Amino acid sequence: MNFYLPIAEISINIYILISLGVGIGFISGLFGIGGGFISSPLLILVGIPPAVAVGTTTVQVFASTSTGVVSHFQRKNIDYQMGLTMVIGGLVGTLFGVLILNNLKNIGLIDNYLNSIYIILLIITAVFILYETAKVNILHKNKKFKLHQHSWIHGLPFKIKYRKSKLYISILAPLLIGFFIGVLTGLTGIGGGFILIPCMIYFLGMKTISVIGTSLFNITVVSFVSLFLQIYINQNIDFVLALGLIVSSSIGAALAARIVDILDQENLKVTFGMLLLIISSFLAYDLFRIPENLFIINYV
Amino acid sequence: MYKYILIIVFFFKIGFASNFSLDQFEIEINSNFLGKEVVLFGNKDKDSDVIFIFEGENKKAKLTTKVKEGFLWINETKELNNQPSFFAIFTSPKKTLNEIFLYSSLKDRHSLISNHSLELHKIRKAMNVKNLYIEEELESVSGNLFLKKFLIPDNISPGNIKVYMYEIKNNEIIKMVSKNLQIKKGGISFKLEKLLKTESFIYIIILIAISLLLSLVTNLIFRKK
Repeated sequence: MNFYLPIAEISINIYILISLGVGIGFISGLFGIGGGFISSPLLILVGIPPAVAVGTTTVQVFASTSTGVVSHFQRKNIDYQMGLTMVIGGLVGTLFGVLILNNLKNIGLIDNYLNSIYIILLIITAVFILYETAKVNILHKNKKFKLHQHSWIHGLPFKIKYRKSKLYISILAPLLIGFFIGVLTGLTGIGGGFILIPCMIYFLGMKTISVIGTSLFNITVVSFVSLFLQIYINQNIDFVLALGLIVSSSIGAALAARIVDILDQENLKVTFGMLLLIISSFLAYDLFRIPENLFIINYV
Repeated sequence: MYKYILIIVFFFKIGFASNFSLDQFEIEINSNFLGKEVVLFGNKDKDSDVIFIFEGENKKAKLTTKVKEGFLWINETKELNNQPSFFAIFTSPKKTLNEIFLYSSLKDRHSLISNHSLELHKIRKAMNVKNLYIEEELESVSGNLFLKKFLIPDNISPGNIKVYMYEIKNNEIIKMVSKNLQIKKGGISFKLEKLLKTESFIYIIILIAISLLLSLVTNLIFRKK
């Protein structure tokens, strides 16, 4: 059974959309991620135009993170001072990202660049997850190690106190991290939690308890603004596709929540890392293989 | 269905010389739109050939050519200003594009088949991949009656498709008849697209409100107790 997507201007099989949404939600729920960096490339792989995939993923990211923010707000797990600093960087970044996306769309290189960015992001994340798991389980099994070590970031100027996180660091560090994540949000539609959280823990030295809430706060605000920018600059958000994804991914996430406790967390991490490598290899194959069609026409 | 069509065709046969009709002149793109089958039917003089051309409205387009650079296939994009959004050629008896090129008044009227250039070949190929370019023979039903069923694909752009019938005798175009096939967006698809283009702010506010609501409701229904 197919139905028509008015903005993407193609029809899609409803079972493919539901399976995709449930799958993305399931992976998000299982591994505690937003799922944007999986849904964008998967939507492109099933034939959704890249610009529409990016814009629509932003809605899904916003919907999934906003409910999380509410619960972290109730538990007072959000460092607003840190969150707002990153949001400022993020807003500038997302504007850059959306403009770059618009430019890539206009010069017709959107799929080349987006595929390459996704491949790099997915491989880096996979390697990072697999390395961290190996470090904990094999290399340092019986050793205690510091979660956060001082790095060049702590030598940056304009230091201020972040009371909630009990940090005295340069304002430039969260601004730059926020900017980088914002560019990714505008350009690829992802929330960037899978990069933001390690950055907050390893680079900024934040405590785990406020990291999740603060990163969700940052992602929600930046994706909210990104939605408006995508609509005004790129007009690339498909209403029907977005709602279908939100409902099906919520079901997937709920299913995952029911089984996540009975699964071994370390095995889960390895599976997740492998899954990212598989998705990235599909995308890489797309860049290297002889294209099915050498000529493509798109009406403006 | 066919009986009715043949009756109508028969009416044409009695009433006119070569002529044609479509089973519908207006197609609505709505949320159930998966493409639409259109039936072209009519009759022709037994000594003449007919060429039908369906030409969609001219639109701005981008033609992307995949080029190998090193190990990678990258895009080379060219902007096209006036490209028909749909193009179909139906002939009876079967004619190749090279044969159609012989009729200068016909090729002058339709830019997509105006010459043998590589660029037009690329555009036709690219449109063909998206089922927006068709080259086929009309089916002969009986005697001089002809019929052709074809699909208007789901990726069609809304607008007017001009349908031209050229009647050819002794290698000369002796008659040209044209009609319009209207493709328009309707129902929720049309409303959503219009809202996105004219009232982007309202579009996004509604989308945010519904997505938050749906997210909360599905979380409530499916959450772990």
